[in-house]
Amino acid sequence: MQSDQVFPHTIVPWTKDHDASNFTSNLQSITKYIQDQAHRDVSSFASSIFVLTAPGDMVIRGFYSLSSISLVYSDLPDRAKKRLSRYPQVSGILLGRLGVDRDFSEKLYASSGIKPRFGEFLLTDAQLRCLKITKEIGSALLVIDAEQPSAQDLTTGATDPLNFYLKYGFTPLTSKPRRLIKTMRAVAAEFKSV
Amino acid sequence: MALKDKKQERIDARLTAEAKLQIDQAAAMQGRSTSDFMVQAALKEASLVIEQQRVIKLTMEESLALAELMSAEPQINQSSINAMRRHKKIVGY
Repeated sequence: MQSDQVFPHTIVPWTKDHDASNFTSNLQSITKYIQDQAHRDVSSFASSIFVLTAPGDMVIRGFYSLSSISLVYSDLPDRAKKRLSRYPQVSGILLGRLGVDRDFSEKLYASSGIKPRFGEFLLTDAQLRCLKITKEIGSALLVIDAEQPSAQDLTTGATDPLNFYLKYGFTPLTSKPRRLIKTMRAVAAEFKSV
Repeated sequence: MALKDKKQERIDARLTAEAKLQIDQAAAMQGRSTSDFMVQAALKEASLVIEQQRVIKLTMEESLALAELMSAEPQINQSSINAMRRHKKIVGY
Protein backbone atom coordinates (compact mmCIF):
# COMPACT_ATOMS: atom_id res chain seq x y z
CA MET A 1 0.00 0.00 0.00
CA GLN A 2 1.30 3.36 -0.92
CA SER A 3 1.78 5.71 1.96
CA ASP A 4 0.13 9.10 1.54
CA GLN A 5 3.17 10.59 3.16
CA VAL A 6 5.49 11.81 0.43
CA PHE A 7 8.24 13.07 2.63
CA PRO A 8 9.16 12.17 6.18
CA HIS A 9 8.89 15.39 8.14
CA THR A 10 8.71 16.63 11.65
CA ILE A 11 8.02 19.90 13.46
CA VAL A 12 10.47 21.12 16.06
CA PRO A 13 11.15 24.37 17.93
CA TRP A 14 13.24 26.85 15.90
CA THR A 15 16.89 27.14 16.89
CA LYS A 16 19.53 29.56 15.62
CA ASP A 17 21.13 26.66 13.72
CA HIS A 18 18.11 26.24 11.47
CA ASP A 19 18.58 27.52 7.95
CA ALA A 20 16.02 29.82 6.31
CA SER A 21 18.39 31.35 3.75
CA ASN A 22 16.69 29.73 0.73
CA PHE A 23 13.18 29.73 2.13
CA THR A 24 10.72 31.36 -0.26
CA SER A 25 7.04 31.66 0.52
CA ASN A 26 4.34 32.72 -1.95
CA LEU A 27 4.02 35.77 0.27
CA GLN A 28 7.01 38.10 0.52
CA SER A 29 6.08 39.22 4.02
CA ILE A 30 6.34 35.61 5.25
CA THR A 31 9.75 35.11 3.61
CA LYS A 32 11.00 38.37 5.09
CA TYR A 33 9.74 37.43 8.53
CA ILE A 34 11.49 34.05 8.84
CA GLN A 35 14.72 35.42 7.37
CA ASP A 36 14.96 38.77 9.16
CA GLN A 37 12.73 38.97 12.20
CA ALA A 38 12.14 35.47 13.55
CA HIS A 39 15.35 35.23 15.54
CA ARG A 40 14.66 38.55 17.30
CA ASP A 41 11.14 37.50 18.28
CA VAL A 42 12.35 34.19 19.65
CA SER A 43 15.27 35.61 21.64
CA SER A 44 13.06 38.26 23.22
CA PHE A 45 10.37 35.63 23.99
CA ALA A 46 7.86 37.66 21.96
CA SER A 47 6.96 34.58 19.89
CA SER A 48 7.76 30.91 19.69
CA ILE A 49 8.52 29.50 16.28
CA PHE A 50 8.14 25.92 15.16
CA VAL A 51 9.76 24.70 11.96
CA LEU A 52 8.99 21.89 9.58
CA THR A 53 12.07 19.93 8.51
CA ALA A 54 13.11 16.47 7.44
CA PRO A 55 14.11 14.60 10.61
CA GLY A 56 17.67 15.59 11.49
CA ASP A 57 17.86 18.23 8.75
CA MET A 58 18.28 21.94 9.58
CA VAL A 59 16.73 23.40 6.41
CA ILE A 60 13.40 25.07 7.12
CA ARG A 61 10.63 23.87 4.78
CA GLY A 62 7.79 25.52 6.67
CA PHE A 63 7.08 27.26 9.97
CA TYR A 64 4.53 28.85 12.23
CA SER A 65 4.77 31.29 15.12
CA LEU A 66 2.76 31.44 18.33
CA SER A 67 2.39 34.16 20.94
CA SER A 68 -0.15 35.11 23.56
CA ILE A 69 -2.81 37.69 22.95
CA SER A 70 -5.69 39.20 24.90
CA LEU A 71 -9.02 40.28 23.55
CA VAL A 72 -10.57 42.89 25.81
CA TYR A 73 -14.35 43.26 25.76
CA SER A 74 -15.97 46.67 25.55
CA ASP A 75 -18.23 47.24 28.47
CA LEU A 76 -21.02 44.78 27.72
CA PRO A 77 -24.57 45.62 28.80
CA ASP A 78 -25.18 44.11 32.27
CA ARG A 79 -27.66 41.54 30.98
CA ALA A 80 -25.22 40.28 28.38
CA LYS A 81 -22.43 40.27 30.94
CA LYS A 82 -24.38 38.05 33.30
CA ARG A 83 -25.39 35.64 30.59
CA LEU A 84 -22.19 35.49 28.57
CA SER A 85 -19.01 36.42 30.25
CA ARG A 86 -17.70 36.62 33.76
CA TYR A 87 -14.34 37.93 32.65
CA PRO A 88 -13.45 41.33 31.15
CA GLN A 89 -11.18 39.73 28.58
CA VAL A 90 -10.44 36.51 26.74
CA SER A 91 -6.92 35.18 26.61
CA GLY A 92 -5.89 33.52 23.42
CA ILE A 93 -2.99 32.30 21.35
CA LEU A 94 -2.07 34.22 18.22
CA LEU A 95 -0.97 32.13 15.27
CA GLY A 96 1.06 35.05 14.01
CA ARG A 97 2.53 33.69 10.81
CA LEU A 98 2.51 30.42 8.93
CA GLY A 99 4.50 29.71 5.80
CA VAL A 100 5.67 26.96 3.46
CA ASP A 101 8.73 26.87 1.21
CA ARG A 102 7.10 27.06 -2.22
CA ASP A 103 9.90 25.55 -4.33
CA PHE A 104 10.40 22.56 -2.08
CA SER A 105 6.71 21.81 -1.90
CA GLU A 106 6.24 22.16 -5.67
CA LYS A 107 9.21 19.94 -6.45
CA LEU A 108 7.91 17.23 -4.14
CA TYR A 109 4.49 17.41 -5.75
CA ALA A 110 5.99 17.21 -9.23
CA SER A 111 8.15 14.19 -8.42
CA SER A 112 5.61 12.19 -6.40
CA GLY A 113 2.23 13.30 -7.79
CA ILE A 114 0.99 13.52 -4.18
CA LYS A 115 0.18 16.89 -2.63
CA PRO A 116 2.48 17.42 0.35
CA ARG A 117 -0.19 19.50 2.19
CA PHE A 118 2.45 21.18 4.34
CA GLY A 119 0.22 24.18 5.04
CA GLU A 120 -2.47 21.92 6.40
CA PHE A 121 0.04 19.92 8.40
CA LEU A 122 1.46 23.10 9.99
CA LEU A 123 -1.96 24.55 10.80
CA THR A 124 -3.10 21.28 12.35
CA ASP A 125 0.09 20.91 14.33
CA ALA A 126 -0.34 24.47 15.62
CA GLN A 127 -3.92 23.81 16.72
CA LEU A 128 -3.02 20.61 18.53
CA ARG A 129 0.01 22.22 20.15
CA CYS A 130 -2.23 25.04 21.41
CA LEU A 131 -4.70 22.51 22.75
CA LYS A 132 -1.86 20.88 24.67
CA ILE A 133 -0.59 24.24 25.96
CA THR A 134 -4.03 25.09 27.35
CA LYS A 135 -3.74 22.14 29.72
CA GLU A 136 -0.89 24.09 31.38
CA ILE A 137 -1.98 27.70 30.81
CA GLY A 138 -5.64 28.33 30.14
CA SER A 139 -6.34 29.89 26.79
CA ALA A 140 -9.77 29.92 25.26
CA LEU A 141 -9.21 31.12 21.75
CA LEU A 142 -7.03 30.79 18.70
CA VAL A 143 -6.52 34.01 16.74
CA ILE A 144 -5.12 34.46 13.23
CA ASP A 145 -4.54 37.71 11.39
CA ALA A 146 -4.55 36.36 7.85
CA GLU A 147 -1.68 37.84 5.88
CA GLN A 148 -2.71 40.16 3.03
CA PRO A 149 -1.00 39.18 -0.24
CA SER A 150 0.73 42.17 -1.85
CA ALA A 151 0.03 43.15 -5.45
CA GLN A 152 3.36 41.63 -6.37
CA ASP A 153 2.57 38.35 -4.56
CA LEU A 154 -0.59 38.04 -6.65
CA THR A 155 1.32 38.44 -9.91
CA THR A 156 3.59 35.54 -8.92
CA GLY A 157 0.66 33.21 -8.33
CA ALA A 158 0.00 33.56 -4.60
CA THR A 159 -3.48 32.70 -3.41
CA ASP A 160 -5.15 34.53 -0.54
CA PRO A 161 -4.44 32.60 2.68
CA LEU A 162 -7.81 33.76 4.05
CA ASN A 163 -9.63 30.97 2.18
CA PHE A 164 -7.20 28.40 3.53
CA TYR A 165 -8.00 29.32 7.13
CA LEU A 166 -11.75 29.52 6.53
CA LYS A 167 -11.64 25.95 5.19
CA TYR A 168 -10.44 24.63 8.56
CA GLY A 169 -13.11 26.29 10.67
CA PHE A 170 -11.65 29.68 11.47
CA THR A 171 -14.22 32.46 11.25
CA PRO A 172 -13.94 36.25 10.97
CA LEU A 173 -14.67 38.27 14.07
CA THR A 174 -17.23 40.64 12.54
CA SER A 175 -15.84 43.96 11.37
CA LYS A 176 -12.31 42.88 10.43
CA PRO A 177 -12.61 40.19 7.77
CA ARG A 178 -8.96 39.12 8.03
CA ARG A 179 -8.96 38.62 11.80
CA LEU A 180 -10.03 35.05 12.31
CA ILE A 181 -10.83 33.11 15.45
CA LYS A 182 -11.60 29.57 16.51
CA THR A 183 -12.49 28.53 20.03
CA MET A 184 -10.30 26.06 21.87
CA ARG A 185 -13.50 24.17 22.64
CA ALA A 186 -13.99 23.62 18.90
CA VAL A 187 -10.42 22.36 18.53
CA ALA A 188 -10.92 20.04 21.52
CA ALA A 189 -14.22 18.72 20.11
CA GLU A 190 -12.61 18.05 16.73
CA PHE A 191 -9.68 16.26 18.32
CA LYS A 192 -12.08 14.10 20.32
CA SER A 193 -13.70 12.80 17.14
CA VAL A 194 -10.41 11.93 15.42
CA MET B 1 -2.45 74.00 -4.38
CA ALA B 2 -4.92 72.54 -6.81
CA LEU B 3 -4.83 69.02 -5.39
CA LYS B 4 -6.45 68.32 -2.06
CA ASP B 5 -3.72 67.75 0.53
CA LYS B 6 -4.29 64.64 2.64
CA LYS B 7 -1.85 65.69 5.35
CA GLN B 8 -4.22 67.72 7.45
CA GLU B 9 -2.92 67.08 10.96
CA ARG B 10 0.10 68.57 12.63
CA ILE B 11 2.17 67.80 15.72
CA ASP B 12 4.18 70.37 17.66
CA ALA B 13 7.04 68.88 19.61
CA ARG B 14 9.38 70.62 22.05
CA LEU B 15 12.95 69.44 22.00
CA THR B 16 16.47 70.66 22.86
CA ALA B 17 18.55 72.54 20.30
CA GLU B 18 20.99 69.64 20.37
CA ALA B 19 18.33 67.03 19.55
CA LYS B 20 16.89 69.24 16.80
CA LEU B 21 20.30 69.64 15.22
CA GLN B 22 20.90 65.92 15.24
CA ILE B 23 17.55 65.17 13.61
CA ASP B 24 18.09 67.91 11.01
CA GLN B 25 21.48 66.43 10.16
CA ALA B 26 20.18 62.88 9.84
CA ALA B 27 17.30 64.01 7.63
CA ALA B 28 19.68 66.04 5.46
CA MET B 29 21.96 63.03 5.06
CA GLN B 30 19.04 61.16 3.50
CA GLY B 31 17.93 64.15 1.49
CA ARG B 32 14.59 64.30 3.28
CA SER B 33 12.78 67.07 5.10
CA THR B 34 12.99 67.02 8.88
CA SER B 35 9.22 66.75 9.08
CA ASP B 36 9.07 63.74 6.73
CA PHE B 37 11.97 62.11 8.55
CA MET B 38 10.34 62.48 11.96
CA VAL B 39 6.95 61.22 10.84
CA GLN B 40 8.41 58.14 9.14
CA ALA B 41 10.62 57.32 12.13
CA ALA B 42 7.72 57.70 14.56
CA LEU B 43 5.43 55.57 12.36
CA LYS B 44 8.01 52.79 12.24
CA GLU B 45 8.28 52.79 16.02
CA ALA B 46 4.51 52.98 16.44
CA SER B 47 3.85 49.88 14.34
CA LEU B 48 6.46 47.94 16.33
CA VAL B 49 4.87 48.95 19.62
CA ILE B 50 1.39 48.06 18.39
CA GLU B 51 2.52 44.66 17.14
CA GLN B 52 4.21 43.88 20.44
CA GLN B 53 1.29 45.05 22.54
CA ARG B 54 -0.80 42.02 21.66
CA VAL B 55 -3.94 43.38 23.22
CA ILE B 56 -6.96 43.70 21.00
CA LYS B 57 -9.68 46.06 22.19
CA LEU B 58 -12.97 44.82 20.85
CA THR B 59 -15.81 47.03 19.71
CA MET B 60 -19.22 46.45 21.29
CA GLU B 61 -20.35 44.51 18.23
CA GLU B 62 -17.24 42.31 18.33
CA SER B 63 -17.57 41.83 22.08
CA LEU B 64 -21.12 40.53 21.77
CA ALA B 65 -20.21 38.29 18.83
CA LEU B 66 -17.25 36.80 20.69
CA ALA B 67 -19.12 36.36 23.96
CA GLU B 68 -21.90 34.55 22.09
CA LEU B 69 -19.39 32.32 20.32
CA MET B 70 -17.61 31.49 23.58
CA SER B 71 -20.79 30.36 25.29
CA ALA B 72 -22.38 28.54 22.34
CA GLU B 73 -21.87 24.85 21.55
CA PRO B 74 -18.62 24.55 19.58
CA GLN B 75 -18.96 24.09 15.81
CA ILE B 76 -16.75 21.29 14.60
CA ASN B 77 -15.19 21.39 11.14
CA GLN B 78 -14.87 18.22 9.08
CA SER B 79 -11.84 19.40 7.07
CA SER B 80 -10.07 20.05 10.33
CA ILE B 81 -10.92 16.58 11.67
CA ASN B 82 -9.63 14.97 8.44
CA ALA B 83 -6.46 17.03 8.73
CA MET B 84 -6.00 15.87 12.33
CA ARG B 85 -6.31 12.25 11.17
CA ARG B 86 -3.60 12.80 8.54
CA HIS B 87 -1.47 14.62 11.12
CA LYS B 88 -1.84 11.71 13.51
CA LYS B 89 -0.69 9.25 10.85
CA ILE B 90 2.43 11.30 10.13
CA VAL B 91 3.36 12.18 13.70
CA GLY B 92 2.18 8.89 15.16
CA TYR B 93 0.46 9.24 18.55
